[in-house]
Amino acid sequence: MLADTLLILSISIATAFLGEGLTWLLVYRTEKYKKLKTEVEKQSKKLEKKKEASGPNDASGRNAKKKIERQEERLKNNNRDLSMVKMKSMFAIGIVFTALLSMFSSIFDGRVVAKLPFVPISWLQGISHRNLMGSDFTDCSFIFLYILCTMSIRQNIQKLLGFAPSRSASKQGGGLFSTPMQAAK
Amino acid sequence: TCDPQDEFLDVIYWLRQILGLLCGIVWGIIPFSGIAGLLIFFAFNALVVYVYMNSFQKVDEEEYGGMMEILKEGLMTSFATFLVAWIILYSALHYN
Repeated sequence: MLADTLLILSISIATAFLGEGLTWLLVYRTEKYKKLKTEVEKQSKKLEKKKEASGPNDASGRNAKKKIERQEERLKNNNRDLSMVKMKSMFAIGIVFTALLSMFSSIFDGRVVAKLPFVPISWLQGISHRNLMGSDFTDCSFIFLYILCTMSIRQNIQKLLGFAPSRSASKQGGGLFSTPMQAAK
Repeated sequence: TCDPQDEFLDVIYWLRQILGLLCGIVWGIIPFSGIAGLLIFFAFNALVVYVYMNSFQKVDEEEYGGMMEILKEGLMTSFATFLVAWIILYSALHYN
């Protein structure tokens, strides 16, 4: 069991590096991406500052508000371009990873690779108990452990290598999750 | 980046990762099990970050968009790290 878990850990480290390497090759090192990224970061910071300066009470009038809106529009466009640049290579990487994943899961098919110290909630049991026999839900399948390893390792590697998106950009912009936050303010 | 806010959040992020790993190792050795293990982890993790920012740094949480922003920083990654360490040690030490 220990050998399996360590193997899965190293597989996910390797695939995380592979993924980042491929993304670097296809996206991060391209001029277009670099330009767009610095642009988005600069604009996000500027916008943040402007918003803070104008404040919620709207003392500075409509003119400032209009300016902010225009800038927001520009930022949105840049963000869209940025995700388009990323999209193509993400697609390619996605295909490679699906192939790798199906290969690995066929190797570990039906094997209990670890014992979970807890019983997962019911909608996770489909993943954590995938392709396993028996009804002991503390048995852990390959895919569950792999997903957990990847969640932890990939993000940390991105952060270490400096590929993670900057905070002000993801806050201002364009992330799907930022909208309710902005509305709440 | 030379932004002090970003730097502080980075410190919180890495603090969380180390904490997650250490907790996972300890939880696996003791061993904790069941939902209690998860809950204790979340409570402990939030507590450490809270104490760190209040007593050592004295930061103004409003600068970061509220308490939740800081408590959320790196939480999911830390949780995943914790789970991996916990599961591996738990199954290696207590099921072989």
